[in-house]
Amino acid sequence: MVFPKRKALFPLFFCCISLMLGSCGMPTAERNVFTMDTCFSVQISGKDAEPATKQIEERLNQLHTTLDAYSETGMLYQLNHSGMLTDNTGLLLDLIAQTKAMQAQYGSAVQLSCLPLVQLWNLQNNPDAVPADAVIRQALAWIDDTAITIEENRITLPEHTALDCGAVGKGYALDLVAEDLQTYACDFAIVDATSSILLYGQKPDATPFSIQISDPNGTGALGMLTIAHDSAAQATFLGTSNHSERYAVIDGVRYGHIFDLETGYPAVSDLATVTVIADNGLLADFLSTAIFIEGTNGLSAHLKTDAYAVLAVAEDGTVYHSAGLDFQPIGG
Amino acid sequence: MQKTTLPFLRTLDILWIVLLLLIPLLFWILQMQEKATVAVITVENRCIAEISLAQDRSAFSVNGAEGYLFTVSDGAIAIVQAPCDSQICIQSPPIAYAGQSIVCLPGKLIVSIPTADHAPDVILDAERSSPDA
Repeated sequence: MVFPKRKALFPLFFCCISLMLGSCGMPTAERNVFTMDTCFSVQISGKDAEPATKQIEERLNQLHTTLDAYSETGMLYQLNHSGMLTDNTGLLLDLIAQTKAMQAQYGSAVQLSCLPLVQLWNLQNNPDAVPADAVIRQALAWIDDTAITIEENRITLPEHTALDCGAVGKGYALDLVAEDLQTYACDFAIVDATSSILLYGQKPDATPFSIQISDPNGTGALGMLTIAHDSAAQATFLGTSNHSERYAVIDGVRYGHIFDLETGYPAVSDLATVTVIADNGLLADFLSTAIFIEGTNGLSAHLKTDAYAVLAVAEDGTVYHSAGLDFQPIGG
Repeated sequence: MQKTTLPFLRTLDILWIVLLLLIPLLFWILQMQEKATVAVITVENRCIAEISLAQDRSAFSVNGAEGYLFTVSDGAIAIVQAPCDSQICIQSPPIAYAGQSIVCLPGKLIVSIPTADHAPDVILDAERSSPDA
């Protein structure tokens, strides 16, 4: 057997030490950004981690102003109240165009023009009564994204139509955050906005991302989802929909914040929670809501596609997931 | 009798290699000892308290989080009083595991349990804290 000469070991030794010191010195940044009615927990690793974090904070705050339908400074508020808006940022135009494209492909269970129904139910303020059926039917008549018209950079809404980007806004924000991470050549990032999560690049220790899936009906964990990235700039988006996050109780009945636009009532689903894993944040958010509303009836088609992956937990605790997902049940 | 030592290594080299292997092991042992279960309370990204979850505590306040009361029970921390309007953070179940958090958006307050090395990167938890809308 031929051994290397002793002197040849020294370069190897110094390379190892340099690598160890190099990995210790990689700049990291962590910040919680309170905006868009949620908290974005941001952790980034890369040579420009700090300026990237600052850019992302500015980006999210800008999006808050753009997509805010509830305060006078919000661009969406202004559009809803005047029926017309010139969008010089291009952000609202882009979000509307992308959402319409997804509706054309995956159906119209999610619509931006749902604000009249959201305001009618007013679940965030714990209402005392369910709205009358006649009023619900009237609100449903105003929900139609095809009625939103775009000419160059001008958006026009028909009378009574008003937009709420709550279903897809965070996913869209994460799409733009991923672009910023790429611009700043970040090595790794996790941006966690509770129901929408971005996993970016590769972890400093080169292990895959591990995501614990909790039991929606209890306190334990159902299993562990593992996601590996092949390249440094790869981004994976997770969008989750369930009724556990925001709800109100009226006359002893729990009403969730996700609306079934066929009935005008909060969706009654036999799925407790749905997570969609995709390479686009808006798509992950859009589909997780749509699949939650559909329930187990439409689930099999979603589990077979290669365009995205799904992990869903039924109310009875059954876990469904796409074949391509690396999901290990606890004890399994 | 023939010497069994590898031809390119001397005794001192072997000692160096053993030492280099022991250093990370030492760090790992020290890190394991530091993993006492604590919760961290931050307000506007500023850490204002670290709370041990080892002992039960009835409703207590923390300097810098005026209007809030917390409890620790069976290794889990919860918010039991908050000055916000929606009170959603109070409805959030107590948290006990690394990576979990309770968020109160109006107060920009987060109670979190720091992620340990063995913990997942993200917890997708349907029962986790709800953002106050």
